[in-house]
Amino acid sequence: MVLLLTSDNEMFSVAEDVIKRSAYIKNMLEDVGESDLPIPLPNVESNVLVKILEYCEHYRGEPLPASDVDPAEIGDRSLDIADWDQKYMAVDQEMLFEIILAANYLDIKSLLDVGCKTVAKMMKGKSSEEIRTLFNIANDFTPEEEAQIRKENAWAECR
Amino acid sequence: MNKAQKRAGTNSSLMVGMLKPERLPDEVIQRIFLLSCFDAEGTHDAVHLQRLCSVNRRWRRAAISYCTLWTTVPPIKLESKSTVTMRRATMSMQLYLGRSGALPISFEFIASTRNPTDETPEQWAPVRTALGILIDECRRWDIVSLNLPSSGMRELQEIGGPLPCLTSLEVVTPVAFVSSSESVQDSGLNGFINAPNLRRIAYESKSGTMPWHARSLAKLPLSQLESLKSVSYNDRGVYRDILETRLNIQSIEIITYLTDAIPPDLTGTYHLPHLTFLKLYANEFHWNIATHLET
Repeated sequence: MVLLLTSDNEMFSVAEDVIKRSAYIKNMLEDVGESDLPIPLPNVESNVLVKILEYCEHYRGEPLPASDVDPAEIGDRSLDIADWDQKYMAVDQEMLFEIILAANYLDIKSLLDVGCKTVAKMMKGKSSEEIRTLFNIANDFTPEEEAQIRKENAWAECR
Repeated sequence: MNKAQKRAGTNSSLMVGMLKPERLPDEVIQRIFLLSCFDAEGTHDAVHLQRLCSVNRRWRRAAISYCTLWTTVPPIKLESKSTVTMRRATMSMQLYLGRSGALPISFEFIASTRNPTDETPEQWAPVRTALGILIDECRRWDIVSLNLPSSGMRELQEIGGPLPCLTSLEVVTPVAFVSSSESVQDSGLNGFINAPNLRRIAYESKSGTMPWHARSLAKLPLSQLESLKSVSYNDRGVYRDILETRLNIQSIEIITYLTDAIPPDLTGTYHLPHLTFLKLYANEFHWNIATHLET
């Protein structure tokens, strides 16, 4: 078993073959070897880790993806998401981004990919303004920058 | 279920605006951009990319600095003689060329309905300029589609040196404005001879007066091809040429309108170990076209 200590000081005891889906933890275990000391996860809160472990548990025993794949080189750029993953990702937006952040920090490539696809699908077909509204993003462009963008977008219109 | 598990309970309704994605690192935002700007087949959604660049400064910076997003230039349409339209198309192209850094680029250049022999040099100049800008970057060409009038193909003679990134070439010359006396050297395809990674060629010419085009295909590196498609009225040699290269070809599609263009006199038997697709079309065949193929 592997002990994990979250940023809000909750301790989790997790089966090694479950948490090894995280390349970060896997590498750490390989580097440090067996230890009774918990692995601190200062960037992951307990409620997020629960979700992460739910994912890792579901895919327990599945082959791990190659660790050195450049995201830009990943062949599968489809936005298709498996049924179970879709249900798993049916969380509020705050949790969705927390999962993505944790998957990135823990280096769980398949989960990061599902999270990114989920956000990409949310944005698809939306205007800039609709995307701002969706994610509560402020428009911080200066008038000069707005003018430059309008100019660029005019070039795009001719396509 | 402990306290943390209760807090992690799922909620199927997305709560809009609860958390801005500002905490996501650039590489994650860029990964999201990549997924949303290209579909599974690699088709690029240029309008969506423009929208992402217009959300806020951070997203704009993240998009512009990620060269991969800019490697598929939107179709460069120069069929209209409108100066404004041509300038916009060229500027859009330059935007992509600049932002794609040193990465391989893919593009579709469309000017087939233009006729340089009927146009003043001033009218044709924007097409030549745009093509010249692309040719300056020819070492980065990856998947390229050139839809040019046959007389415009000669602009491609400016291509010099190897094309190390070129993997796929499509040439479409639907309208011929050139006399049949044009030589092989004028075809413009000679610039593609040195393309060591070229695997797919699709060539289409509906002109019945240009024997040189089909023969200039033979100068291309056929032996390294995996796929060849040729649509031509008078292509008399390319099928034999590709049979004789044998090695790697997986897909052959020859469409011609001369009955002898797919030769009846093939005496040898050709073994094409990787061939999975063969389509031959001519007006009529008087011989069994399969006899020369060893299965």
